[in-house]
This record gives sequence, C-alpha cells and structure tokens, in this order.
Amino acid sequence: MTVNDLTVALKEIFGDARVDTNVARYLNDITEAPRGQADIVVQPRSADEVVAVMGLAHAHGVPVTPVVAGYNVAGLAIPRNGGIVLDLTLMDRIVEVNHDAMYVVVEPGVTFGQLKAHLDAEAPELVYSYPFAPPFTSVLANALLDGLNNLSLRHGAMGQWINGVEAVLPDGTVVRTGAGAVVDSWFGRAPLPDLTGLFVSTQGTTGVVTSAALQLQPKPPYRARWFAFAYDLAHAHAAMTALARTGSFDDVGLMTWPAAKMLFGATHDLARAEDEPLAFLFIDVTGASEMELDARTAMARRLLGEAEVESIFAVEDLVRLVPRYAKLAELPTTLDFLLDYPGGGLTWVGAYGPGGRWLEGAEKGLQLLEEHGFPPFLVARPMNGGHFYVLRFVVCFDKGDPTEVDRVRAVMGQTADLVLDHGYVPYKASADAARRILARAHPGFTELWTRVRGLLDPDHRMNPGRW
Amino acid sequence: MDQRDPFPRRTATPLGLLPWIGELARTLPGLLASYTQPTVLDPRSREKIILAVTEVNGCRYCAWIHGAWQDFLGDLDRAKADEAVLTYARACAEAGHPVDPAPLLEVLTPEAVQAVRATVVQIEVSNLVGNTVDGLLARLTRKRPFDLFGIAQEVVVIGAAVPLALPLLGLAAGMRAVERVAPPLPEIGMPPGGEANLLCHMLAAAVRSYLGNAALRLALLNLPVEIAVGVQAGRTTATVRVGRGSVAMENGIAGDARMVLEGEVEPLLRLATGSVLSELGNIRIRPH
Repeated sequence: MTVNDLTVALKEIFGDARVDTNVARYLNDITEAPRGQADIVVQPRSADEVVAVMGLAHAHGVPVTPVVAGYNVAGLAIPRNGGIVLDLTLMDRIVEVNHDAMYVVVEPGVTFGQLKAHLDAEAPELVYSYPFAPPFTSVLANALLDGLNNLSLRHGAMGQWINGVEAVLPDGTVVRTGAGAVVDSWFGRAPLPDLTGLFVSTQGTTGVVTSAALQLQPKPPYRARWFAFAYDLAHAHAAMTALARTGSFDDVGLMTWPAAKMLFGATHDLARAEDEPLAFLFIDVTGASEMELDARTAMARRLLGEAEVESIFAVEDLVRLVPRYAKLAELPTTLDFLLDYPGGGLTWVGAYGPGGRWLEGAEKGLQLLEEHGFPPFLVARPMNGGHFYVLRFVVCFDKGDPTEVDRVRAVMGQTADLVLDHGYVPYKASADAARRILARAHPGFTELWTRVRGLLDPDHRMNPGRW
Repeated sequence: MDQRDPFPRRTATPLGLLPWIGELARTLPGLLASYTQPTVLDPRSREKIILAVTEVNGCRYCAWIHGAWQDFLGDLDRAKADEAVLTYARACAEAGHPVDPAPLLEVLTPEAVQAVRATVVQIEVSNLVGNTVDGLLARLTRKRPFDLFGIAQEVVVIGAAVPLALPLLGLAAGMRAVERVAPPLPEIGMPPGGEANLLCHMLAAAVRSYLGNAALRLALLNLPVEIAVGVQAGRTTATVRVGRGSVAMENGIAGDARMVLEGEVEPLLRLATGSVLSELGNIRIRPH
C-alpha cells in the first residue's frame, strides 16, 4: 500500500483534520535514540477509531507505532519502519472513578496533571501515585511501561497498579483483561488468568491499550516530607533499607549531589567539595492522624540516626529558603533543570533489582559515569516494601554534539551491561538495552516471549524494533 | 432626594466591626505568630495578604504604611503567598466579614491558617478605621451628608486609633527613608562553574533574603571593610564575605573568617529564613 493510498484510506475514516503526513515531531525524543522514520500520523478519539486503524494496517501489512503525550524516552515511541504513528493524545477521558473499589479508568491521553486535578476535585479521599515527570505526561503509558512513582515503595512498580485493560490487538480484535472482562467492576486482576501482563512492559508490541483501570489509594490527611544528607552510599543504603522494611513510609529514595547542584543552575564542570554530602535522601511520611504522623517522623529520625545519615530537615524549611526545591517534593513535576540542560539531551538507564547488590551496582555505575566524563548522577528508591530497588543512572548532554551523543550511547550501553551484571533488569528498556536483556535471558523466557509475540503480531508490525 | 451615603468605602461602625472582633478573639495567638514566627507566616507573605485586603477596601493610609513595609522587606519570589491565601483574604474583604477558612487548611498548617485569619482581621479593622478618617473628612467638606451622630461616632473611632496609628505612620516614614538610601543588592559572587558547594548556594539564597531588608542592606553593604563569616552546617562548610558594597560566597572556612556559625542544617535553615530568636539557641558561634 503506497503512502498516498494509506492517506486516502485514513482520511476516509478520520477526515482531513486528524491525519497528517508531517511526522517530523514524532521522529525524535529527548534521548540519544537515533532519528526514526514514519509515513503518516493519525489521531483517534475513540477505541472504535483505533479498531478502524488497526484493521486497515493489518489488512495491508502497515507498521503501527503507538505514541502518547509527546514526551518519550529511550526511543520507545520513535517509529522505526515507517507506516502509521498512532497518536493517542486525543483519547483523554477519565471514564470512571470508582470510590468503592478505589480505581480509576483512564484513556491513554489522560495526563498526570489532569488526573491529579480530577481526583482533588472529585475524589479528594483518594490518591494516585505520581512520578518525577512533567504533569503533561501520560498516566497510562507510565503504568504500562512499569514506571516508578512516589507510592512505589508501598505498592510496587506501576504495572502492578493495573487492574485490567481494554486493548485492540494488531489484527483489530478488541480484548479485555482483569475483573472488568467478566463483571461490571474493575476491582482487580485476580482470580482470573492474568492476561493483563501481555500489555505491561511490552512497549506496544502486543496491541494498543485504549483504556485501563488503575488502582487508587486512600489519601491520609497528614503528610510531611523530609530530606537528609548521606555522605556515602553504604549509609544511604542502610537507611533506605531500614526505613523501607518498617512498612511505615510512603516514599524513600535518594539523588546524588549533581542533581542538587543542577537544581541551582550549574550545568558543566560539576565538582563535589570534600565536605559535601554525596546524596540527599527524600522521605515522605503520612498519617491518618497527627499522632501517627509524629510517631512515624520520630521513627524516621531514629532509623536515619542509627544508619548515620545526618542533617535531617523538613522540605518545607528548605523550600521556604529555596523555592525551586519544591520541584523535588510535589509530584508530578517538571524538572526544568534537567529538561532545559544546554543541548536538550536527557537519558538514563534505570533498572530494578535486588537490594543486596544495590550498593556495589551503585558504586560501579557512578564510577563508570565519571570515567566517561559525566557527573555521577544517580536516582534510587526501594520498591514494593523493599522487595527490590531502583538504580537509575542519569546523563544530561548536548544533542547537537555528535561526539557527545556517541559518548552517551557508549556509556548507556555499558551501564545496561553493568546493571545486568549486578542482577538488575532495565525498565523502559531501549532497543539496545532490550537486546542485552534478551541475550542474557533464560532460553525458556525468550522462547515463550517469541511464541506470544508471534501469536499476536507475527509480522512484528507493532512498534517495530522493540523487544 | 437620594438619601444614600455617597462615600464609597466601608468605615468602622459597631455593626461592621462586630464579626471582626469575634474573629480576632478566636485567632489572637495567630496575630502574635504573624509578627514573631516567620516559619508560621513569612513577613513578606503577611504584607502581601495585608495589601490584598487593603486593595479591596481602598484604605490609602494602610496602603501607604504597608506599601512602605513591603518595600522595606523586599519583594522576593519566595514571598509569593499561596494563591489560596490571597483568594481567602480578598473574599473576606469583599464580604465584609470572615469567610470559611476551610480551603486554607488544605494548603497550610492550622497554625499558619490562624495567623492568616488574624492578619486579615488586623488589616480589615485598620482599613475600616483608615476609611473612617476619609469618611469624616468627606463629611467636613460636605461631600457626604453632615450627620452629628455619625461624626461623633467617627471621632471616637479615630481617637481610639490615633495612639497606634501615629507611631505606625512614623515607622512607615522611617522605612521609606531607609529604603530610599539603601544600596541595591549586588550580584552575589560564587565559586566558579559547578564548584560552589550546596551550602554556598543555600547561603546565597539566605543572604538574598536577608539583604532584601533595606536596613540590613544599608548596614552591611556600607561596611568599610569586608567581613568574612564561616558557616558549618552538618559537615559542610562555607564562608560569606560582605562589606564594601559586595557579597561573596566561598567553599570552606576562609582563613580570615572572624567567626564560625555552627549547627545542624535544620536550625540553620530556619535561621536563614528569619527565625532568629527561636533558633539562635540551636546555633553555636565560635571565634576563628
């Protein structure tokens, strides 16, 4: 099917306004991922329109790359083999908020800012989990890509928050998973065969999710946020572990010193003074009563002291002095000091893995960044009550400098290997990282994945180049 | 003939004051906190609330006094009172009585809410008294109906307010004078590139805040010699250098530092944001 034929066919479905052959803005993201290639973009407004596009693409063997919100990482939504970019931004309805079973049903275009405002107005007793990402990013994409948010310490990676989905398979078939596939409530994934996982972390290769039910959590009325300084990673890790295992804290994590300096506007030649903290920990505490909040805060202070993490202070005191620090405390957030870095490049390797190997992985990863001339910028967090941890190595760079881009590609590849060497598995894996993961995977995993994908998308037309 | 009072602003009448006096009784500790505990209500935020209420009520005396106060303190970004607070303040002024403060509790602590409510009462009453002066002047110049009972009532209100109003007017005049002669805040010198440690950055923010105050700017920037003061927060050290029209930060404790302020980050942060009295006990000062 020629591009002209495709354009005519899509315009017959959508009219002129939501079909465009100008695809330039979809061919890049903020990372070092190479420029992509696509023929046409279409913006459906409903699941029925997605079915129509997928049916057409299936009939003519046209590749389809789903994309949403226009802010993508790791090249996950850059079209590789031409064909259709399926821009889901206009599917932005919050379909249902269920106060009783505590879930929300959203379409892919719903943003974190939109959901937060909606819940604040319509369900102030409930809360979702928010990322270190701008308010205009997609709630559903974050969940389907197994991201980590500010309640992930308590409730795990965001894929676990999905109670079920409605999706369109590559051949245009509409499917449902989770309890909502059987009864009129999306209360959970159990006790059915868990088919939701077919769409989690598969990066759009198994179909297009047109709506999903996501868990909400009760919102405690009392909340306090704290920072603390750690002067080495061993004590930081001990503190995070101790806090995580109490089950008493909403969020615990750390960022290393380059983040703090960049927040103050520094971009290049970052240097750490000998007496400066290596990292700052963030601790989010809530309580159903003031007494509970105070008790948890006292426990946090005691555990941090025992782990020799010093200088504990309330975020509100720091924000009063330096308002820009609010960006690290109120999520979702636009971290403009990262996004506005000269040259506009921002990338990372983020991985989930065992707490017991976190320290060695963190130290070696930071060393690797420095060996390649990048500041030792790490973001970390215990997840799911401390069952696993996050290691995320971040690099800001000049996208206009090809030499620097090559350096970034090299260090990101080596970092992906390094985290895998330490038992960590990259999340939101780039095509390069996915190859490295599959190269180490048990043959049985690769076999099962190959069969599943072959069953759903035998021609690998969906988001080509991924997995 | 139209008998309505042509004076367009609300003035202090027993009926008009009644709800505010009740509110004042409920929030009196908050009034004290609004002037003594900057962690509860930042002085610059307090002045923003005051000016928001004053703008609604149109009291030119309060606008002059608190405009001087705001200029004297300096208008920094961090003084941006939450929009909810200003909305609440304006709503009270427009209603002519305190409105439900529940929305404030979603964004502020109960102590801060009490301080905001008390601040609104304080300035509302001041506005009404200030407007009463103008109301009386309007009667005496026949721009308003001549009414002996009204005049007597207004004279009593004004007479009661004079002992407080005159010193405030004098204070405002003094603040305006200091603000006029104080030098502008110079660019703060920092270590090159990304070398400045976090304490330098935080101290720079604190210095910017403190030197927003015209009196401190006048006193410190006009020092005939540079004074170096070391600060140790937790393990991290930095030096502030001020005098001869300049301010600069450097990593570590400089050899010529006259003294060192030592303490944990938490009290130093609070000290940096204006809680001088409550935090001084948690800070050590030693000669260097």
